[in-house]
Amino acid sequence: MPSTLAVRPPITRSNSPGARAWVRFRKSKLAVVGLVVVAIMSLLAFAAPVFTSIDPLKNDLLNRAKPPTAEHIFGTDRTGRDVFSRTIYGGRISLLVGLVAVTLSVSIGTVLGLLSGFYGGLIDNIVMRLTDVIMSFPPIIIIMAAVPIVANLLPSEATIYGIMAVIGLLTWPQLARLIRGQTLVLRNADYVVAAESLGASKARRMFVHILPQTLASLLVFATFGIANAILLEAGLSFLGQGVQPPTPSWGNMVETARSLDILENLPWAWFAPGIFIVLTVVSINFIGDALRDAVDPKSR
Amino acid sequence: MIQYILRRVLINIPVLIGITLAVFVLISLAPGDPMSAYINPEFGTDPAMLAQLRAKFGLDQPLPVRYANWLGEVLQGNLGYRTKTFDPVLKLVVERIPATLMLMTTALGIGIILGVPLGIYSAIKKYSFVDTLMTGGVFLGVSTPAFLIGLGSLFVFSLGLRLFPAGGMHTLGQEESVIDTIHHLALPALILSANYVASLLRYTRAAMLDVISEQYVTTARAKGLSERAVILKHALSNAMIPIVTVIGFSIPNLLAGAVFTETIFAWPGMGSLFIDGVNSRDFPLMMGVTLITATAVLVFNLLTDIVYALINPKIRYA
Repeated sequence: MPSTLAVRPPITRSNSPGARAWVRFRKSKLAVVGLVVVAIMSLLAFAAPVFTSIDPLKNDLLNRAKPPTAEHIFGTDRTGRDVFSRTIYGGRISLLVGLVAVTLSVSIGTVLGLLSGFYGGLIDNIVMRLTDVIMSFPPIIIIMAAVPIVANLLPSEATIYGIMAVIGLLTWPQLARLIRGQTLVLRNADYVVAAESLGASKARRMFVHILPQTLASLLVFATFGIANAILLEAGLSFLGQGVQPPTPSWGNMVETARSLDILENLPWAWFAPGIFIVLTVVSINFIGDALRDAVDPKSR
Repeated sequence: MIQYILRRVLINIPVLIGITLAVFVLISLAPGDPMSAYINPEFGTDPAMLAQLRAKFGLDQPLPVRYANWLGEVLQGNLGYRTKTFDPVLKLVVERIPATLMLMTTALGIGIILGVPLGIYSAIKKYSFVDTLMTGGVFLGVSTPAFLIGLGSLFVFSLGLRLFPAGGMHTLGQEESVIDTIHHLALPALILSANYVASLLRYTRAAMLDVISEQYVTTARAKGLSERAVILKHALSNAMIPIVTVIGFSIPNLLAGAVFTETIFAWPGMGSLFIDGVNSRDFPLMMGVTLITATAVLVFNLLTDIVYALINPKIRYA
């Protein structure tokens, strides 16, 4: 037999739910653009030394308050620090806060939501009232009230972790309610009852059988949650309670524009971090929206 | 109906207790002398007297007793004293409430007047150019933090075009007048409403789209009603039910947004008072504002539930 007739592997088209969702997700051009923007932002932030050789903390008193030039493409601030370098290094903190805070809030929200929906009764009552209490506090107000208290208990260089923890600890209730609602339905689904009859423990039913079914909404929540956490950190830093200068963050760079002098005369010093915040958050929101459409069975 | 309202009130009581507990825990963890949460520090310098007062307020007692004592004081309107100036916190906050309310109701009004009709229009002209444009605007609106919109408008309208004053509630040295106040109010209120217009537009559009595909809307059309009557009477009255909930539940975000707009525009409301408290690490003041805003949110949520029941016949006749 001629070797040209070698058996080719059959062409398989993956038909897993994940693959189907990805196909739907790709249809949204905005979401793909969003994904690219977020990728670029992350690359700039986490590989910052590759893109600039200027130290974001270095004052250059001979080059103060200079508008954008070839050397300083976003200009320099009042003490001659390079705005581009500060912006991309600042992105590290902003993105990191988003990721860590959301990991925490997703973990708490998922576990409490599962327990609440699965056990019902007293546990459900306590968890749900807890979500009511937390959701009664206007977000930035309770976070601002809690951050100085948490910061006081931590060494000053750990303040940023305190901020991540506070944001994470106060943003889980929406997810817990969502997961609880789905668990209420799923715990009586045939396949879960079948698992029970085969002797699956409660923990196994919750985490192996029910949890995977909630992953779609969990993913959507996490995406919007990152955008929200970035906005909260930026707001906190803008009000002077977040990342402390000289360490740059998008929020505390925009904060300098609270002085009317910088607002009016040094627009490049706050425009760049401002645009970076908006671009990142809009992109993440595009992704979240497309993700919701892609995984929502109702929209098919 | 009365039964429904009563039930809603009863459900909210444990939540209110939870709010006071949360604030009390924060107060207990806060650095500084907890005495400032009870007495006017101006009078308390004598150590013997302080020890006596400490015993009187039960600060040497276990936590649950201290919570009960604190709650008793709060119920009598004693939210503690400002560390810097020794003013009672409740009085300070109450003085600032009208300014915040003025800002919030104006923003709420702008949000409803712009957001709801635009959302309806967007839903009717689904996927048209205008709809796409508005959807884009919505994304930008919900993604841009209030402080950036605030700074941007300050930059363009106050510093650049000099159309609006850069801050405050009145022009200094001028007699207070309504026109002057409106002139100062316009920019902060518009900015506070920006995120709100965006989210209300999005929800109205979604609610209208849900309703428009219902069979009773097709029936109304089949009866030969004008499109105007179909949309405004038949569709909108049902779409209003989720919209009212969104309006009510946006109060916490509006309060949070007020913190930023008031700070940027030096608007003398609760938000800028709160930031004063945070900047001077004035815990009694911070906790007072936190407690009052959370209670206000709870009351608004209750009112939302009641309005929801009033406009939703499924609950009204249940």
